[in-house]
Amino acid sequence: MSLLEVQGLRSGYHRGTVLHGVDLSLDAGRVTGLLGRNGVGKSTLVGTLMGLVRASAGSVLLDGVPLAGRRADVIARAGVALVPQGRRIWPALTVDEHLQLSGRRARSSAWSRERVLSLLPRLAERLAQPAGTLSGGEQQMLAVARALLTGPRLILLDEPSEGLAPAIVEQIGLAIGGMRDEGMAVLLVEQDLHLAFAVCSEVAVMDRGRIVHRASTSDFRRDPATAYRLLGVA
Amino acid sequence: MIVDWFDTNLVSILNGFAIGSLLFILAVGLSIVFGMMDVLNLAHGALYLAGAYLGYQFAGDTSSWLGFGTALGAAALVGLLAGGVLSTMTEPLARRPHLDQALLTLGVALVVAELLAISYGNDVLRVNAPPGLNESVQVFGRTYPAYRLALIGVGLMIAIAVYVVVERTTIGALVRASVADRDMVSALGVDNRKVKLAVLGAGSALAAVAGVLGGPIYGAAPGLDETVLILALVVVVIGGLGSIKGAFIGALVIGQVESLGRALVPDLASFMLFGALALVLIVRPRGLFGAKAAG
Repeated sequence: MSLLEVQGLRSGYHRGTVLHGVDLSLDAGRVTGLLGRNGVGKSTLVGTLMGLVRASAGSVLLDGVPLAGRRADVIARAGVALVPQGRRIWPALTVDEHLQLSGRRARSSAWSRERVLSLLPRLAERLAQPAGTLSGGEQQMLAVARALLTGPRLILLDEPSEGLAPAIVEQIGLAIGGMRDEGMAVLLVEQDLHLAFAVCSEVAVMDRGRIVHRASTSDFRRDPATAYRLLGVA
Repeated sequence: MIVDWFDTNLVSILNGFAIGSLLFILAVGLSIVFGMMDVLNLAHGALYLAGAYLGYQFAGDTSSWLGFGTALGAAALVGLLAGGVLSTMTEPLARRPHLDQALLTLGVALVVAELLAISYGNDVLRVNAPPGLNESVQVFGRTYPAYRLALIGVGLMIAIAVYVVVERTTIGALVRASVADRDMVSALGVDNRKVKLAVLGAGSALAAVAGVLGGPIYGAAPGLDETVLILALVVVVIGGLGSIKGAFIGALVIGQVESLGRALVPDLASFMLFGALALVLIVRPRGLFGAKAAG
């Protein structure tokens, strides 16, 4: 059985429904890329899985435990973590304060503070610095560290490479590989296909609020016609 | 010349600091609750009023440390409980616009104020300062009430205590993180409702304590709740939502505007309060130290 089973998930905002029945399963120890054009509902899906956008119908099971419609803190304690689009770090808090708060409700996990800092060493040099003064890449690392320290079984990464230099993207890719090797399920929303293809074993493509295509990364790369039709890229 | 001006206006300046101290104690809770949880608590003034009447209840007849201390303790307890009730009441409205919460808390404020008026009448009731503070002292050759000097000191101590808790502890970091982005706090597994309960409880306790502390200056009387609520809202907007430093500076500014402004240009006193507010809003819509704009 998969770690996460999503069936018929619907959600949206007061302006209208965005997800029109998403079906998705994610396995432990695998990285799945969630691709799709802008506005098809990728971030809404991530937000709904995290409990930040309320699900109106459908089911979400994490290891058999129902999570659809639960509060974000309940979902987080069940083992789901989020690295949100735009990082959403707390600018006035120091790096150290971010790490302290993240570990407060941590499930027992392999991701100790020391391990996270050894994976993202730049943060160790910036512990006393307010997060708002970090570079974009450092802020992204902090967002990743914050999520890992909660000890998740499933991590949702929403466009972690957005606006970052290639060297930083490479580090993020290494960190994602570390998460996979630790047995976590990873859902990676990504516009940067180089990163997605490098770290994902399979891809799911969204269109108009549904998952419309699913394939192993190697099959997807061998099928440029489908990629062009769904993503607008060759 | 500056020395002469200072000498002439010393009493007004000291009064400004005393009012500022009281306003800080009152406004800091309002600022954090609004900044953090988007709860615009218009019952904050009623909590002050309840504190003022508790001051009258325990320190209205005689001047005693026991009575004044009991009033402070009772006010803190009543404030904590009231904060808990308000937190529970506003929870179902958490995702609705500010106006819904404002209407609910305004309704609570009106009911509480009316109940207090029914119980205590419409007269201004006296609250005695504790012994030793109910007399005057000499400050740079001027006679000045000892209680007001003590109030400045108490305001400073509370400001330092609140600053240390919010800026230097993990609990405080949780509060500041909630001010900046509470969704991401809940995504770490923290139940926002408990943080809100704690902050609303502490903020309400401070408001009720401010009512006791303000008693020896303003007494206890119907209408005080509205006056102090407006002043506290002005402080919050000038200082910036969710900022301790902002509430402190905002309270000192409004304290001086209320006191020194009234002494220097009595005809423009009311205008100056809202003039200061308008000026800050034009120059810095987020307030002097605000992390985010009101809206």
